[in-house]
Amino acid sequence: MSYKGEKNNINSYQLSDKINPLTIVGLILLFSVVLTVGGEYQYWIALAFASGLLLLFSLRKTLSTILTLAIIWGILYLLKPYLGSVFVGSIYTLLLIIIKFSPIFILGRALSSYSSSHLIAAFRKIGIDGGIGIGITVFFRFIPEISIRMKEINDGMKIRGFKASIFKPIKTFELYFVPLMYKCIDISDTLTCSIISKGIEYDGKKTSFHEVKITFIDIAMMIGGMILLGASLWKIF
Amino acid sequence: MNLKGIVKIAVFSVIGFVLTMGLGFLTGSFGMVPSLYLSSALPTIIVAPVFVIMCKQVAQRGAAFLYFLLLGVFYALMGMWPVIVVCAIAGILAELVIGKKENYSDKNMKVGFGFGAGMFVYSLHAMYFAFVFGVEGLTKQFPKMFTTDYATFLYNFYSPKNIVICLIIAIIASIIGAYFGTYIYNKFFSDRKKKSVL
Repeated sequence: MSYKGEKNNINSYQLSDKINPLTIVGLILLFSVVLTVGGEYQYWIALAFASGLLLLFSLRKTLSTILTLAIIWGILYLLKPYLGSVFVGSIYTLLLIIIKFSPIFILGRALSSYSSSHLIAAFRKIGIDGGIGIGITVFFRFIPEISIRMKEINDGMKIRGFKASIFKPIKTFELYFVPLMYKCIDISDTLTCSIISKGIEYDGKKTSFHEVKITFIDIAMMIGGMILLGASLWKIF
Repeated sequence: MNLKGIVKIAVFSVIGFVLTMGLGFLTGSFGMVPSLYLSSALPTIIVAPVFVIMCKQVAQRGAAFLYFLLLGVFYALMGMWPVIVVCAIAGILAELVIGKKENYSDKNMKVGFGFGAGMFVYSLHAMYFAFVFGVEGLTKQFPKMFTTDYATFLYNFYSPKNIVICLIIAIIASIIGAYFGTYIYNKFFSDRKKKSVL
């Protein structure tokens, strides 16, 4: 006997289900050192690695990320002849920093694909429970949410005929951020209800619907990251 | 601290982090020298209401420290791991300035000044890195971020005169942030009748 959603569940199985979220967190930490001390080769390998990983999660996200990076590269190319100006130079440097750390942002995007309960279960596995674990989980799940909430506020302002103005900074702040703060308070209440209803306050040994274990793919990815780190450190010592 | 408090701090620290980082980029677009003088002045003012509202909502000791610590953890996850040390120190200082638990719920400005103090420590992070690592350390530890020219420029920028200017700007921004944060809280949130049943 099968139920309606069973087929979809089987079809939606993908390789990304085999990847432990902790592996991506580990890669973020490794890449943060690689991108700081490594050379150009290490950067391109890290970028390809991160993009390939994101592809396992979502083709749409990967394409949009590549398009965004291509646009930034295009802007950098166009700005290069005008680097003498302080303003252009500053914008150029900022975009360069975004490009430079893009593999980490891509990994962050992949990590935000996991559900909150999956992330919490993974962090609990390594003893990161409580404040820090919840904080990191909320961070990855809430970042994409902010733009949605801001858009809601923007739409609300348009309907009521309010306009943001750079010449009225306090008024603009009140229009945008006070509703956002109220939304934050409500979101945190909802999140708390959700977490409590999933049994976080239970004192006994907790189990999770999501299987959190280290697989061969995780080990292979961590070894790849370690080799990249080793190659980067080799250059400076 | 109860679960509700932790979740609130996590949600507000994400907003704080996004604003701090975004406004940091905006300050950077003003040019290298103005951005070194201003440092985190803009985030200190704009993020203050977020912090004050968060602390007043949570109303428990440790909220300020956890906020700054999470900020540091987020920076570490974004690859800027040295910032976590500065954020931890900023959090401890903020907690000390706020003092007793009652200050979290009272209408006084202690929470605002706590944030100002924390952001004062945070805003000087470029200076700490310049002095702790030195020119050689910066170029060796972070070769992709600092060329020898830029590291030398940064190190030389922090002359006694420029340090005093940076400190004055950071202090002024902290005071404005403290007042602005408290003003927004008192105007929109202090008399909020709707309370969660949790």
